[in-house]
Amino acid sequence: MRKKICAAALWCAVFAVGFGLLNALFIPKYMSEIPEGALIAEYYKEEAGHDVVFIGDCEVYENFSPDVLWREYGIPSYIRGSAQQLIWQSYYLMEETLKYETPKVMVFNVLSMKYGEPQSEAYNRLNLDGMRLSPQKLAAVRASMTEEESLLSYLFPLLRYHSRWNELGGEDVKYLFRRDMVSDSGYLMNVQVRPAEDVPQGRPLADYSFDPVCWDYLDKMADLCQEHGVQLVLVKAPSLYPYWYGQWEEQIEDYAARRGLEYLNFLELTQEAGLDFSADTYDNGLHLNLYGAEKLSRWFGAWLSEHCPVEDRRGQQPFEDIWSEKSAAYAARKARLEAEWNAREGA
Amino acid sequence: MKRKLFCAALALVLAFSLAACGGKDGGGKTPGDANSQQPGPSAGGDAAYAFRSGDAAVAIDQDMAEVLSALGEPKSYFEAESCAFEGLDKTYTYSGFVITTRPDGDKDYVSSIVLTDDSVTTPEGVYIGSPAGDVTAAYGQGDTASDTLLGYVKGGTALNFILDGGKVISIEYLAE
Repeated sequence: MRKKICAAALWCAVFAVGFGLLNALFIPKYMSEIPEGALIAEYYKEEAGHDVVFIGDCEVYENFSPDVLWREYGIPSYIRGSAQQLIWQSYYLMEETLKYETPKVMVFNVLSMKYGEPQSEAYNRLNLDGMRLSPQKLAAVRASMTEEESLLSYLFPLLRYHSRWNELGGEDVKYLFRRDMVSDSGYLMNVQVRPAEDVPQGRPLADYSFDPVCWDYLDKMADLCQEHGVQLVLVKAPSLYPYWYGQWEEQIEDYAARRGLEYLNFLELTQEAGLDFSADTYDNGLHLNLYGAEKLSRWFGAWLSEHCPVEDRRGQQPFEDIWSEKSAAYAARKARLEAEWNAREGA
Repeated sequence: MKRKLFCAALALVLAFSLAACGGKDGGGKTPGDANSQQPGPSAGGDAAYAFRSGDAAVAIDQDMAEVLSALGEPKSYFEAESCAFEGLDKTYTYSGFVITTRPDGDKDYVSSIVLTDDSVTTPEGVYIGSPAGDVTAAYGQGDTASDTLLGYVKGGTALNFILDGGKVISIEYLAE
């Protein structure tokens, strides 16, 4: 009898290990392609807390440089951003973040207020696959799934990705148990320059109201931050496209005033921040490049220091050692990307 | 014995995972193409609403290469990379209207046509500035009707008239 139990246990263990290995092998690694898919998981490698945490879509992970916030203001920060992050995903990431740390300030980019329903599985995967299993992940998956998706496939990615068997490559083996860092504290660096020209205006809409579900989640964010003593700052990044309507702006301004929240629309602050859309964007005005992100962060760092309960932590341990290492990695990435871009432009 | 056990477990794992092929996911590969959509070119068919510029008809899901050869170069052109995924959403601005496209494979297909001023009209004669009454006279009561929208659907194409103060301020052709 005992022998049978041992055999069964062994069987289960072999099954679990085998299944786990296959899951790890088949899930996309997002290293050489679509690095945005690796962003969410990188947060779990952080060694110390942050005073400021950014939450939101590409308008946060492309437009703010935590390295500048540290080097120039001593503010330790992190960007929990991902591609087309929907507001319910942002909320659950915020809730999850508060399990690990209590920052002084959470910064949320409001562009995702325009999406009242799940958009696509492809973006869901980039945003959710990297989350650790938790009640927040389950809730985020439930809120995000399109009709074709199943909760089970998020718990066991092999169920979704098994058909990758004929596209598995060396990268899938190389990164079976580890990943390289694709970001600098959540910031996805891009040094290319493509000026903004002929950016289209938004077409008139029949209804400019944000979906009620978006207001619900924004309310939940404000409540959550209040409960934890965290200052919530709403921002609209200075991306020229997609178009940000004046009617949307009014609604956010009204909401911020009603809830007593700070709200910064960087589209109205481009001059103060010194942004030049002929040089500071890498994709015609959708996102800032490194130079634009550094300018914006310089302005925002000064604003955070003046309006929020953050302190200059330069010289304090463990921040000094951690950020010294981070800054070196940031500088090395910057040098490498600039060399690649210059070689490409010169060619 | 151990080897047999391992092989059996591996077989079970594979069977379990492959069984999901028949599931709701449809066995798709890496979700690496956020732009791919099911409808092919000209999904609207002959009955769909279409815009005309001169002799050229422009319809939703039409191959943009055909449109460009009929209309010629636009006044201005803008392209926006999709976040994370490959492919460009393109905007072609002509005098009086704007065409946007979505990428699918190597081609771009018309995803919207928006009339922007009164220098152009719909084939049924409605233009920016027309009273709402002219819209309903030309198209009927509409599948969607409110103070700010009169919407019509035909052959997979939605034709929307955006209203302000009882007058048309924008006309758009979109995929349904």
